[in-house]
Amino acid sequence: MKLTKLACTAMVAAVAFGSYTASATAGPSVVGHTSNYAKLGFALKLSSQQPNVYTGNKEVSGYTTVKISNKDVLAWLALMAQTTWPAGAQLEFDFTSYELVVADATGTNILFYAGDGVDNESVYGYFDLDPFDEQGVWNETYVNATPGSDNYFEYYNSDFEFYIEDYFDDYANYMDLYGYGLTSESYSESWTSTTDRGTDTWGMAPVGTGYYVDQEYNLLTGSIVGNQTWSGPNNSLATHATAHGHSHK
Amino acid sequence: MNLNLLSSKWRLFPGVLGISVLVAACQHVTSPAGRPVAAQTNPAPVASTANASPAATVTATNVLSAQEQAHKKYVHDTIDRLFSLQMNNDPASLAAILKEMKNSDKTIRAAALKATIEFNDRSVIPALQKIADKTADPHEKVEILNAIDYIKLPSLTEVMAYKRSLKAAQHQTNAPAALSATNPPPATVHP
Repeated sequence: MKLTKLACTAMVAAVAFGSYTASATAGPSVVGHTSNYAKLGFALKLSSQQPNVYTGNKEVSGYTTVKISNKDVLAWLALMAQTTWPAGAQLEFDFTSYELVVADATGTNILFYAGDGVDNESVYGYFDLDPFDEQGVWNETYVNATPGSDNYFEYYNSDFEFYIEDYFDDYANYMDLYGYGLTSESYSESWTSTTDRGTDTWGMAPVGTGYYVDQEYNLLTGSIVGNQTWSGPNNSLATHATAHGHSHK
Repeated sequence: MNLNLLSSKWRLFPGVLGISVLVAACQHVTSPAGRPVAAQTNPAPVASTANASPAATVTATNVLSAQEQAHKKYVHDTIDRLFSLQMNNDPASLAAILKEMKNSDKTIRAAALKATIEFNDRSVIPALQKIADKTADPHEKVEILNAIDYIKLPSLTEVMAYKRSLKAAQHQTNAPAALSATNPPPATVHP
């Protein structure tokens, strides 16, 4: 009897420990899906003014620069989401929800909506990115027929803001970087009665400022590029160009 | 630009049809009904003032367009693959990215350079320097050298980790002082 009870206790403990271990290592769950997205590449530079150096009556001012690439953005979004991303996680611009997202290696499973961000007792933050905020000017050849095609090159006004307040870490990672930019997009789509395929490449040149941890004077420059390619049945007309903020005038 | 190109091809079209008709007449070959004439010949170098049908011209345009489309797709598929590779951390992915730095297509080379930046591994710098040394295009060379400078920069993650380590060290050095202010040190330390 005692042995049976001991065995049962051990089994319950083992199951409980197993469940705990599984939940601790499971990582983020899939919170959405997309098939209309662009993969992103961040190559930003954040320059921060450093404290002046005084030598006698000489005062010297200077700044330092750090790089912010995809893996840095992912690390910060992981901090915001209080999680760790699985291998192969990538940054995308999802045209369905129209925001920056973190997706898994497949590209179609969304793990985090960075535009929506987080608002809880530990963290408040978001990464608002709009590469196609306002239409600028464009060159376009649009063949409104079947088969048809749409090719254009367009400039947009873009904007962004990355904000994080980490209550859990005494604001050690507080950041508010924001600004605007110029986006140039090269879009090509062709379709028949049964197929639709296209490519879309764009580059955003952001310029921003704001607060970075304990540094008040900052400058953000660099580039964010997006790349999208699709090929499939003709059931997606008008879901691409219009989703990008582009419209035929 | 596309409209101008189309216009010039329309002007070339009579020549395409004229030569096609001439070749067919000489060889006593008749094109099957509905089959694109230009698809059987090389449309590019042909130019004459003979009469031609618009259908043949459109076909020639489509053939050229298909080739362009195929190359465009190849370029974008490769770039798409580079975007995935850049998010990995294994040497094989880095090698695959560097291989595309030698691609004959300039757009792919530019995308591979961006992927190298995103890969975020400073061990790639000597290989990039070698590629820069062998690059004849001055603009491309500058791009590679700029990428090297960028890769050399400390990353935000590294700087934040450093700041955290400083903060942690400060906490550690402050801890005994705080302890000594409120509690007497252990006798074993200060007998």
